Amino acid sequence: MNASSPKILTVDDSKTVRRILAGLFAPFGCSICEAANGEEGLAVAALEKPDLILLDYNMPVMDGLTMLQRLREDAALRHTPVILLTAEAGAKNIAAAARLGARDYITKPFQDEVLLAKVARIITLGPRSLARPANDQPEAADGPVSPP
Amino acid sequence: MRPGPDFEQIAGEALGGVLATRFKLNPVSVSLDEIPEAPGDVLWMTSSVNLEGTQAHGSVHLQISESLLERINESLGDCSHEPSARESELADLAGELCNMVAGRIGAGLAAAGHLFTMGTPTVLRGRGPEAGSGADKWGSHTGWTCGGGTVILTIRIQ
Repeated sequence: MNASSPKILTVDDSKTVRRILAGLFAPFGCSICEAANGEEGLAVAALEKPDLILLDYNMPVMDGLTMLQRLREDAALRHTPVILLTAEAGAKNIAAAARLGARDYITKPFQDEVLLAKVARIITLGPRSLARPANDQPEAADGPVSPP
Repeated sequence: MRPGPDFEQIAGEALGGVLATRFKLNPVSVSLDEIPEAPGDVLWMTSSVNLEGTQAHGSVHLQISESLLERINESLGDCSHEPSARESELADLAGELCNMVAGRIGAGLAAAGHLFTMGTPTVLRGRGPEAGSGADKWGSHTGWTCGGGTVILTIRIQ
């Protein structure tokens, strides 16, 4: 692992979640790659060799649990740490993911501080950049709101 | 279920928590009378998340004017420019916003002793916010402005 620039693969069918995760980890010097489902995730993981995978459970094409199983069958990727992102209602999925070696899980919607703490247990995050990420801009002063 | 929780307070804290913490927007409460029921020239997205509990069930509905949604979308960066991809992007954002707000509402209700499990968000696009008070047996129906746009947040519990 490149400690100064760890690489995180985010696998989630929601582009919003992927963008939020990129905005959360990029300021810590992480390099982010992404995929929209498990099948894409396997391809990107093989290419990018990430230090950590943040993996959604419910996805079209290939779900997170299947991707995790395929990762564990791949000699080159079997030891890649995985944190499962799961909806609250998916708590039963956690045991199955743990059996496949998922290092941790977090329920969505997640709190940034909790996810950062879980990730920091697995990879070394750099000091947070002073530059504001794209989604951390202060609100401009609102003028009067016109009736829609 | 007794009507113990202060739904309007929980709604305000949930919406403010999501918009202020993640998007640096500060929603200001407005009277629903100030929000026209059917502004034909304004597009809205309505996202909903079901809440399932052992003693009650309900839902959270987040109606956002598309201008505000566009602003939030821009703040996330990496926006699509192709129209259909852009619309999908906004629908995805609306759903995730509702998911985040509903998660905080669920936490607020849990703190008041009412446990719910959240469903997955659904999203509708249309002209004008949904008519009616929205609030069922218990709940709240509140209006907010921020970022030059409008939000209506409804909690329904039966």
